[in-house]
Amino acid sequence: MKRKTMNPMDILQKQGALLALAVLTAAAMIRFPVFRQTGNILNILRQNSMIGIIAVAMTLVILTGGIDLSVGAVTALSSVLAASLSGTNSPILILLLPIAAGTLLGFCNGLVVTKMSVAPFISSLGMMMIARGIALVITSGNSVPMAEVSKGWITAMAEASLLGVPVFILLFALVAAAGVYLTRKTRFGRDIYAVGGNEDAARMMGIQPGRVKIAVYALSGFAASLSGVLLASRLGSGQPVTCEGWEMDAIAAVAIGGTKLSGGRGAVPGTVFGVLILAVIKNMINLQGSLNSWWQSIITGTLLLAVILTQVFGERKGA
Amino acid sequence: MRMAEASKDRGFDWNRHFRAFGAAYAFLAIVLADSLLNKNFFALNTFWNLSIQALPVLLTALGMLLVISTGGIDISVGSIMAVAGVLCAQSLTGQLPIGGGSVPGAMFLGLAVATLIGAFSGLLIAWFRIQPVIVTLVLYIAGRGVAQLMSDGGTIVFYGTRFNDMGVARLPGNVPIQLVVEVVFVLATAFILKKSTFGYYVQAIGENPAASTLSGIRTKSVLVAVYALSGFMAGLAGIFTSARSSCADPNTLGALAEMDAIAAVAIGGTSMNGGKSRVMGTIFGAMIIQLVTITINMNNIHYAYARILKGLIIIAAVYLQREKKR
Amino acid sequence: MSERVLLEMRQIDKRFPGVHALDHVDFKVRAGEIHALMGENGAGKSTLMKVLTGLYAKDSGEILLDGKPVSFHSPLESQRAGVSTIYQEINLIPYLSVAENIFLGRQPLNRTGIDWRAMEARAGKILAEMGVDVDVTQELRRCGTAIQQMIAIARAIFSDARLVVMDEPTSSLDEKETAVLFQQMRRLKEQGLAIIFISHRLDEIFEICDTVTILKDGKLVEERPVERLTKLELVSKMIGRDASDVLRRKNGGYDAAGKRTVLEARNVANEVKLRGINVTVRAGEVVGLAGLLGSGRTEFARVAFGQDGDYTGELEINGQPVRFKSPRGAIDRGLAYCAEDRKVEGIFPHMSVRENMTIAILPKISRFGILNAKKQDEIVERYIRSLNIKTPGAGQQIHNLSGGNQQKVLLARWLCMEPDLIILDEPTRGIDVGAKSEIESLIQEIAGRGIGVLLISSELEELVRNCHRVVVIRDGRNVGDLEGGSISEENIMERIAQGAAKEEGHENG
Repeated sequence: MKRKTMNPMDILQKQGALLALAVLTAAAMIRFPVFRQTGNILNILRQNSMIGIIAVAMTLVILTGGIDLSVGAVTALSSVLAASLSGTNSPILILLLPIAAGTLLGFCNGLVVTKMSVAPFISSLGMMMIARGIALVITSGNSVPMAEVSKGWITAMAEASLLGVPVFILLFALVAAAGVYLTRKTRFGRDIYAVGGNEDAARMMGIQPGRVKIAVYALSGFAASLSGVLLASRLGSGQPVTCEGWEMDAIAAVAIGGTKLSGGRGAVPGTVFGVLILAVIKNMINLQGSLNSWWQSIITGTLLLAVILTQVFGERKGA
Repeated sequence: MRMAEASKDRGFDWNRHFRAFGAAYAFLAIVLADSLLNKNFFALNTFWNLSIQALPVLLTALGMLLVISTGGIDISVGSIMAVAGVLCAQSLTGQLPIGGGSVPGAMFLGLAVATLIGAFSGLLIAWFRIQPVIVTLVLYIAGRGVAQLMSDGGTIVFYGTRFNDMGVARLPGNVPIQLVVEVVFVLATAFILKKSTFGYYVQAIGENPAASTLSGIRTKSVLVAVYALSGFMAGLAGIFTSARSSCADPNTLGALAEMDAIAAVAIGGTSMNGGKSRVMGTIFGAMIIQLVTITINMNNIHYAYARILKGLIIIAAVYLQREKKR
Repeated sequence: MSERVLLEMRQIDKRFPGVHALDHVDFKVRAGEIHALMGENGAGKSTLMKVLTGLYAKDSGEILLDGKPVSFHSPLESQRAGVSTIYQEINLIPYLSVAENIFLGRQPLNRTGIDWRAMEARAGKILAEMGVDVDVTQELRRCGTAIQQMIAIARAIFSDARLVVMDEPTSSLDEKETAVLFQQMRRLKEQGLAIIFISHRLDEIFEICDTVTILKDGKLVEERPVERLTKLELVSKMIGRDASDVLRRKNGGYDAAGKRTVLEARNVANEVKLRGINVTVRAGEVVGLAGLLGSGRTEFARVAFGQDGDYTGELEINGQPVRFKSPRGAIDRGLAYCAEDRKVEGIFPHMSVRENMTIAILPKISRFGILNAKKQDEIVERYIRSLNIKTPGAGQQIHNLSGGNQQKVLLARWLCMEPDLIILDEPTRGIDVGAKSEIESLIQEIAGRGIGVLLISSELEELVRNCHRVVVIRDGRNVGDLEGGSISEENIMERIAQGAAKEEGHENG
């Protein structure tokens, strides 16, 4: 039997994110003593668990060859919904209704992409406007504080820990594990790769690309709105104008993690590393102190471009 | 193929007609509705105002038209507007050593940088074959970051300067200067697309990139030029916007302009997959988008509704204008 | 072959707007037979197969599988009922492993989910039985075309298919690979499966098939056992007129005396496929470039045209050494290349005939980048007339034209630049026999005007009919040169075979 030879570019592409994370973390530890403290590390993880949850779902969307630009707006909308419903003091309404609404928006996004054949970036750009618009209409553009009746337990959620690990981090880990299981061990997960690798072929092989796509956009909406609820719990309020640019952070994490932006190739673990890389960079900017927070978007953008360029060159070498 | 052959036997092709003139009809319908709702709508002044306010949408839409014709997309236009506006304002107010504080110098600086940013996108898209959405998404985020960084997030104000005069200048007969700029650029774009070899190439690349290269088209150069033009148009839009409002706010200048531009092109009947460019349609598309904004303002509806409405319009327009599967 | 009817399609009727695609067609396939479905393009073969597999809904008629009426609404449903399809373009997923491509949608499961180990073991076993030696864990895209085709077949067999539809499966295979495919087909037949085989290569029909069904203009013409049918009969039934005209040799002799050399390629090689190709074309000469797919024939054309990057060796146009960096440079020096795949690399579907025809010569008919519309119209009208292009007008969008007329517009695109040399890569692929004949006449006419023609074709008959000289290549190098009377299918195949003998053991990917 012929055996494949691993080419160095392949290894770099598969393990590059982990390597980069290791190097960055080491650098941060040496440069900033504060970074090493458990508290700081847990804090980084907790702050980025929301982007992380979104990025895991974004991986699925991108694996099908699509993209979801509406995630930031859906997160904001969901946080606003949770806050607006906080007066009811009903955990089901406050926690589940926003998630149901976000999932529904994602589902609609998937319908528009598949049944109406509108390109994913257009459809999700439209959804972004719609979700943001609804959030603004509900709140008249103002932040919505949590009602006193439920504020206590909602904000406590953000601070809660299980066995010393904050609940947010556990949730992120859970979502990531679910993503790994889904993509490795289920037929639906493999269908995602098939649809992104060659949609026509997938259809001929008896897969229904439409259903797969609708499902991943719905999952993306689910993840974004779950993050929104977490955000509301952390801030103790609903914010209609937050999370701008989250879609790029999520996409950047996916790309940095080695997933091909044209679909068909990649994996969830890489995305987790991608999220952590961005998180460490953000933390380093903060610790540095002298760098303005506007640098964040510039650095993320530059990093994303650099990663895509190495992907492109890797592809050419590998061909 | 067989189906298509059959279709040419049919007399009047409503589908095609709608694609070409749908935007014009929709525009007329909105104007009619507005004039019924508001007695003071049908005034010459409304028209002048529309032409002033529509400038950013129209210019970015014309640039976007070229980009979309090649089968691409440019979502960085809003951020480019901000960069150009802030740069221009900083040069005028002496915060930058370049441009010498003169209006032409400052404008040149803003336009040059805007064009360069566009060319940079084009370079990455053409030479490294990265998807346009991704490249311009990066510039959309990073570009605004740059604009904010330059002015430290603050608004630059310049009342009463010659630059501000330009933004509010009227020609004899009360014709706003914006109308002149619009007419010039509409004619230029139409001319490029219909009469020049460059225009042919733009549409050919959108239709079939592989065949374009084999037909001797230097596709990479054409793509770079197209994105550079889109950047230039966005820069001009940004400069005029800040000149009229006599300030440049890096946070809001050009925000969501990319949505308006894409919507205008889509409403105008140009397919998102590239190919046939529709200039007239795009003009009406831009007017419709601007009218939606104005209508919502005039009727005291919360501005957030405009977002929802425009989001729906974009999806609906792209859906209606999509190429039927071959 | 048993007499048990496995599939019966009765009175299938399908209309598209303005076209009667299938006119009450009857079609019957027995268990354990290989059944050829023949017809020109547009005869209704693929429509019939799409109705069968559920891609199209029929307007009327019924389908019986094993005597039971069935009605499929998607490929998924037909696959579940045991109807598998192998398409001309390989329809697999490039980034998934070989094993997954075989099992996608039917992966073996264990308690925790997909059982990768079991899947890979089973895939390895299936492929080993077929005589395919490949690492089942590697990505599909790393496999050669023939291997990929085999994997597609493995997938079809594994899906418990009772009926396999093969739509031009050999179009991308070379002879050796085709032989392996046929061997597998015979095995399937012995196991009692039925195969519907679609191919435009007549020899293959006579080699492998038991029965032939011929369609024409959406109607059933004939169903007959293959041993009671001659090649000529088959062709004449397909095109409905005297076939001898189509198959007649077109070219006269060629007198090289005093003719200048328009193309001279010496030892053209690159890092990919080419190992040293030598080709000379003189003015007014039709030179064939024969070789199997993957031999480097198309690759040579693209390299020479400046499309595919770097190479070593020399290239001369009209005696001048050249080295093109892009097609633009080649075009400016009088070189034209009419590419292989009309849809992918040729037409601009929604642009007009006028625009399609003149796209390569725009710099010539414009000043300062502004088009001279009058000149353009003159040229377009001239070529529409001289090439007899059937179109309602120059403004017609090209996708509305038939395949043959589209090809003529593409020929016009290159002729109107008045080239010294034109490379025609499979100029008659995918067009009907009538248009084929017209295109072949055109090739002679082009040569008659003093233009050098380099003709690439996988149909040997076409080369024999049209060429003054044939250069035979294999594995990126020359293995023979035939001239005048010595050009025959047998001689070309012999050269390829001999070249193969020399290269024994050399892998062809």
